[in-house]
Amino acid sequence: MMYFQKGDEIMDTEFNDKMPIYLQIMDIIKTDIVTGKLKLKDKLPSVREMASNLKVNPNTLQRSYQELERLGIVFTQRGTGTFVGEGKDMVDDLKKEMAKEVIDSFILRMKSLGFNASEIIKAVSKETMEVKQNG
Amino acid sequence: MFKLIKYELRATFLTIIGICISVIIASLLLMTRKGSWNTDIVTGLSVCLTIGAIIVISISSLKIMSKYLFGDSGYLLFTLPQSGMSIITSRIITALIQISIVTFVALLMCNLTLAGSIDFSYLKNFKVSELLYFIISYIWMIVYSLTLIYFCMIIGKVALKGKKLGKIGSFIIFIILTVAIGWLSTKITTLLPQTLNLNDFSINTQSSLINSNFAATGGVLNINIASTIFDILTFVGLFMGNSYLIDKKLDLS
Amino acid sequence: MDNILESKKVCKSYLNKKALRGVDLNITPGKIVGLLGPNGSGKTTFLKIAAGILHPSKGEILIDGHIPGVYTKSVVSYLPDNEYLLKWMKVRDAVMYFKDFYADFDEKKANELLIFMDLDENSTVKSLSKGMKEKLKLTLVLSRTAKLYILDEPLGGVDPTAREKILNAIVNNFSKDSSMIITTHLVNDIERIFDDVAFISDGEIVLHGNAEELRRDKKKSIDELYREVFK
Repeated sequence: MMYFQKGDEIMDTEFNDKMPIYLQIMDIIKTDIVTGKLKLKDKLPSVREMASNLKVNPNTLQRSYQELERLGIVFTQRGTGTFVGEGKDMVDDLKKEMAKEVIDSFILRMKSLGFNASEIIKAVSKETMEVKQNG
Repeated sequence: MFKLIKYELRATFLTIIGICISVIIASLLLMTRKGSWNTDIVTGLSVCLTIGAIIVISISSLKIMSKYLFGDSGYLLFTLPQSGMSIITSRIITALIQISIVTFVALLMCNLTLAGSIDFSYLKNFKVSELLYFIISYIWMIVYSLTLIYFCMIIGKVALKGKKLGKIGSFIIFIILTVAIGWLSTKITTLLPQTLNLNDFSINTQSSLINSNFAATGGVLNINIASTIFDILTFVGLFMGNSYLIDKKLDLS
Repeated sequence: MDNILESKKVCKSYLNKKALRGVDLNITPGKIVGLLGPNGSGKTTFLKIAAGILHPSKGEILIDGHIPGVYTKSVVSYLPDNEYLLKWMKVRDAVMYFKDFYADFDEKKANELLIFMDLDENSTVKSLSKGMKEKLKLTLVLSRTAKLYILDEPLGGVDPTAREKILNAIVNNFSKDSSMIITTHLVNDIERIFDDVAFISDGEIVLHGNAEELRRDKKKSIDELYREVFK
């Protein structure tokens, strides 16, 4: 199945215009790799196609792809397109990396609310239990 | 340039047809009245009709240029990759064609109404050279007048800001230029009364104050050399002026 | 890389007002630039000068290295803000007109765009609604393979669905060899399409930069920046 088809919910992506868009696009792609929506060696849509679907400047998309390539997450084959990387640890690494980002900013926020380390862990355990019980 | 002419003729197609049909219908109506009304009235109305039609098409033609300069259609025309020369030439040629078609139809109808039939036999009385001269003079007169009027319109637009001011300015400049050119022309004719006889190409001196170079007096075609040269130079100046102004100075508001 | 548009201290003065007071702006190929400012800021004046229907009072502007004239008109595709379509024409006629006068007009692309925009080629220009006229104007302008596209308020007075189509057409038209300069009031809808933005106020450029960098540095959207600059 082609990624980023017109029918996808991605189409109605609400970008936050206060942040560089290329970073947000990178996040979407990274998330999709982690969740398995994009598998290893999958072909990403062409810059032109994706830009058209998302209604962003193609140069912005180009930058996203280039940055992802620099980070080793995707690679480009001249004439064929851009593909998700092959490294089997890549998905795990990405997952850990993205989780770390979420957790770090969460901890920062909790600390600003006055929680200390053990209080944070307690609160998280409690909430996780509740979420588990409520399905 | 020819593409411009093609599109302009298409744009005014309906107007030309409309005027021609009006003239034809009005003439036919007049003809039915020929028996019952006074001959003078019929003649008078017929002539008025002819002149009216010519005036209407001329004004309509000028309005096209006015819309280009002062209205929205100029945005399409002046962003085309066409030189000022091409634009002004095509406009003049199109106007010439428009005016000629209506004039021809109107005269034809006038002839029909007054004489009862369309008869061109009287043309045989004229020499070929005289007919040729008449046609060329006609074309020259229209092209010259149009060039002058367009020049005034463009200068008015370039020099003065605002639609109303621009149009008033054009009119004033037209009056001034016409008077100036006329005065200069008369002066030149009086100073240099040598004329050229177009029949035998002899050079005479005519002490006539009629400097109109398309007055064929009694079958003898004499044109004043100096004033003709002056007219041609003026025409070229105005024409190049139009071309230059369109290319370099025209600002569309 | 040679600039497609190079403007050095371009000024335009009228009897009673200075519309442009020295505009410096350079655009390289492959860029979509937003020229943003309120009414009367001079943006339309600047675009008209680039299109060749207005002449600067001072300063110099070069399109692909040439002064505005017959050549630049052949490589610039201009979408003015007003109703310039000839009223006697049908949609088909308008397409043929562009094809006749512009060597870089792509008829195939025009037909595709007409279908995309839901325009019937047999309708007369007179019968089109405002939104449809805008879509037709844009179709004609984007069907040319120009070096510089100048779009003056392409989204003006158009309903949201039409806006979607127009934005789509603009993004799809992008090419590495050509550039676009777009003015608009509706910054919110279109800001993701811009590479660079230039804010013009009272005839001068007051802020100029890459859109993404501005977002990163100022932590604001271009729309917010716009409101801030033109409070």
